[in-house]
Amino acid sequence: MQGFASLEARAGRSARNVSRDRGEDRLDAAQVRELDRFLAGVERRAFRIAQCALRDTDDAHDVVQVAMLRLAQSYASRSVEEWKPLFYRILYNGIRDLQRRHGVRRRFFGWLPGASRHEDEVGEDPLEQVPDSAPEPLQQLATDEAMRHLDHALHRLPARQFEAFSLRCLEGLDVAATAAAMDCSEGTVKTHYFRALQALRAELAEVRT
Amino acid sequence: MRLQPDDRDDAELERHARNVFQASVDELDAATLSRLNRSRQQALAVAEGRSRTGWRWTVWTPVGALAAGVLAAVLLLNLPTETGAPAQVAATATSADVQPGPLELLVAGEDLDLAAEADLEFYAWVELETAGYDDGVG
Repeated sequence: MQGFASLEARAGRSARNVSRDRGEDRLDAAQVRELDRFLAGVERRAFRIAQCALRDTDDAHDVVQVAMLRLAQSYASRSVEEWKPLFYRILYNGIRDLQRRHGVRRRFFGWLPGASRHEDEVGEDPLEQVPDSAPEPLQQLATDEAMRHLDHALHRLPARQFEAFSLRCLEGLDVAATAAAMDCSEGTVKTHYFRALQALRAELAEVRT
Repeated sequence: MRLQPDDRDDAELERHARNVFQASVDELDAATLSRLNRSRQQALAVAEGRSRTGWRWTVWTPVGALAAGVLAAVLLLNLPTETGAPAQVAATATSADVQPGPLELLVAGEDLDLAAEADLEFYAWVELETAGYDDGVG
């Protein structure tokens, strides 16, 4: 919680925080619109980050939905500056929780036939495997290929390095906000980020040349 | 400040990752966007619902407390006594202007005892008065 304390001190006590202290823990229409704008701004990127970490579309939708609900339910009365680190902290907690559960499931049920099937190993919908008759643009192909390599490289990062890189580089959070979202010190964020860059540089070197 | 080769590599890597990631975000299909939109609407509904619940709670708390107090008072006044009659009836039954009905006389055993004592005096007097007379029946 030290990250949020420093974030709050930096942002100052907003009027909404004061009203929360008075027990007026409710949202008016303008605040709901503000929350709508915030969620609309982060939902796509959050989904892609979750999809990249979990490699499962349904799981990614689930963790994003839970993060949205938790933010709206428990933290909507916080200041707007706090929403982004809070949202991503909830999101990464959900991702870690799902990864842990999948790990346990693999450990106990991995010997069952078909238990180790993964979305990127086996296509979930046979219709999606049917080639499109329309010619695919080269640009689209290049983007898909680049994203596939980035996805793969990101997925191979340790969890904390993935969080540091996705928050700092892909989401554009500064070091303090990233530390708040990861619930660690700023020095730890820098260390994880540096190691993530090193790992990605090695992983993507061949692809980019 | 001149950038070192590693720094240039890192900057290039960051730019590349950002561009590729942003392109993949921009290319999300309609079904995914629709599902994300539904999730967002649900979250907003929760926020709005919680807001309304909070308003109701603060406004209706004193009203609820008052209603509960009135209900408790009514229940206490109508609490049955040992004789089975409501406390309100038992309290007012001793006043002279309230006449008990036949059912209440039957139910109240003490009243029947009092009536029997009065009748005993009457029957004793009738017996004394009629002791020397023959009724002529046989």
